[in-house]
Amino acid sequence: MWAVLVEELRKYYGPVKAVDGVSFEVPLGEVFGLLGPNGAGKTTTVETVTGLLRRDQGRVLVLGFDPLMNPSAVKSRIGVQLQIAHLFPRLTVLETIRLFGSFYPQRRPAEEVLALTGLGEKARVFVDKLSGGQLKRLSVGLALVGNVEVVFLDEPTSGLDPQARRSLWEVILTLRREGKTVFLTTHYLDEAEKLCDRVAIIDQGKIIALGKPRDLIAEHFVEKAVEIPRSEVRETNALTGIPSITRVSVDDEKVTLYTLNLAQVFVDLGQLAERGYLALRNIVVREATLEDVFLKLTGRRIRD
Amino acid sequence: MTLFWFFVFPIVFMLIFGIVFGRDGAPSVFTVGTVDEEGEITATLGKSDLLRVFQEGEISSALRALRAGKYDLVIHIQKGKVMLYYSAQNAGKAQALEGHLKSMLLEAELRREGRTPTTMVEKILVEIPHFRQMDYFLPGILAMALMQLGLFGSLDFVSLRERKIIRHLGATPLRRELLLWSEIMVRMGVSFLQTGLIITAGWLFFRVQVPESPSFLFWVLLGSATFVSLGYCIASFTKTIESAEGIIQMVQFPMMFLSGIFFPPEMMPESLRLIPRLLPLSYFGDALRHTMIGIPTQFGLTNDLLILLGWLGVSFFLAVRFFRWE
Repeated sequence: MWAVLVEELRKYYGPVKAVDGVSFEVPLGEVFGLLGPNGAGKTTTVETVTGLLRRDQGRVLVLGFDPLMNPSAVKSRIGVQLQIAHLFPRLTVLETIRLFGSFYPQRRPAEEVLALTGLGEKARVFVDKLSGGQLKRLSVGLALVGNVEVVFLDEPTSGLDPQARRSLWEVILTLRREGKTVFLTTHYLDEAEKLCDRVAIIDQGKIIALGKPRDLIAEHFVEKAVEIPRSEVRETNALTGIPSITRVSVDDEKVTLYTLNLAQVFVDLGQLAERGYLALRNIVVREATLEDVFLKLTGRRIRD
Repeated sequence: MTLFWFFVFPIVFMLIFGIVFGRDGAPSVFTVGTVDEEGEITATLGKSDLLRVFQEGEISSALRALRAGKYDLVIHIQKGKVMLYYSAQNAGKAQALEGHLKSMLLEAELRREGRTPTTMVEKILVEIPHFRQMDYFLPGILAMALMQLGLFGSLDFVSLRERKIIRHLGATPLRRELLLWSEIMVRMGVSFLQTGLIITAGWLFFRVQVPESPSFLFWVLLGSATFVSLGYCIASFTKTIESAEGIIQMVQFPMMFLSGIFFPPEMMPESLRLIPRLLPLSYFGDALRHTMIGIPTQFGLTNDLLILLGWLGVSFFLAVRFFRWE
């Protein structure tokens, strides 16, 4: 049985096709990432899959149940963190955790949720006094409080400082160790690469790539990536037509070259530098990432 | 904090009203100026308890005093003709005095002809429990307070809806019907608390009797349910908390003053008498006055019951039919 099964899911808002024929399966125990830029349809997908929104077309099964036909069977076994938390402003953190816990047939102790989300010191603080990052962590905690089988996290780390992000990764890894299924959306590619067993890349309501992060990268790139700051390249046209460079992509910040032959590229770049087309002061060589996959598939960076 | 004001407002209201109107009004006395050449009628009028009679020499000076508000009425007695002058605000008194004068004159005339009236009118006092203004007023305050609690109570739900808290809760196994019913139950609980508070304050400050009949509790329940239901009905037809609040004010404010909960509808101008009959609060107040204090009902308890049930049913149906969760 799949934790989540989605077939040909569609959700339109008037002429806007927020989700336009999305299909994927998430097996039990997997950490699955839905990756894409803002407005790609990530939140709409999460909300239709969890039954918060009605879908227009397609089939959705969560733990074998349709969330619209059988909402209580689904909702008592999943936890959902919404992108924006809307909570009772005049309850404390602890009261909110206890309240949400009371909705579920099984629950984690409130202390454990506080510890997992690092909100121990804020237990007696009113919800409306929390910072954005604290509110987000509380919201994630509320998705875990039911000790549920599938946890949906919609952009759990956006707006968090780097340290809080990392501690949240620990939470997700803990869930994985507990054998929970995690469905998360993000627009951080490093996060998806690090945490997810598999990712689906979504853009403009459609899934454009699906698989293990390594496989996706290997499928689209055997090359290495060479980055030069945009300001140090005088003539981008000079980079095309060089045999050692397989692809060039340019944005406001940097020029990225992909190559199979790193040694030859350096020779070629050295010659260009001598002729004054570019400078080689801040050059970076790295492995290709999901970011490069997204760029290749859409022609855009994910955080434009 | 909001709830605090809901509790305190009716009590403050009661105290102010009680202090201003609490005294038992003495029967109203008419101040009358007379211009009477013979003085006979004036002398007879002077014997009445209800009249304070001042003799004036000239009709013109008497009328000047009437205009200045010194007299309620001026009687100008001439041979074969009695003129009654009054200003608009004393129309009622003029009417009463007209009858009084006519019978006096008739009696005098009969006596002059050596006859006595064959039919005598005898006044016999029937004991009905005496109600003070406050006795009438307290059930009215209770009715008003329960109406406000019910109507404004729905705003909490509108606020949860507007702040999308209900939507967030929709991601949990909590059934939202349960959420709504718990809201309603809290409202009803608060209504009973408010009832206790008002009755206690009424007894403490004004010795208004504490209701004995248990049927009174039934009416509190029915009235609260009606107005809670009406509140949610309004909430169903509004989007934001501001518009809901505006509409509720528009509903509750006229009701407060036109339902006859603070004064008998006879005090209203004729043209407005129909209005109280259209408002549910009138029937609620009527039933509370009867079951709390024993004041005779104005519409009849059966009518009160049927009409309140009608309002409850219709607003409940509309609230359910057009309910908005998001």
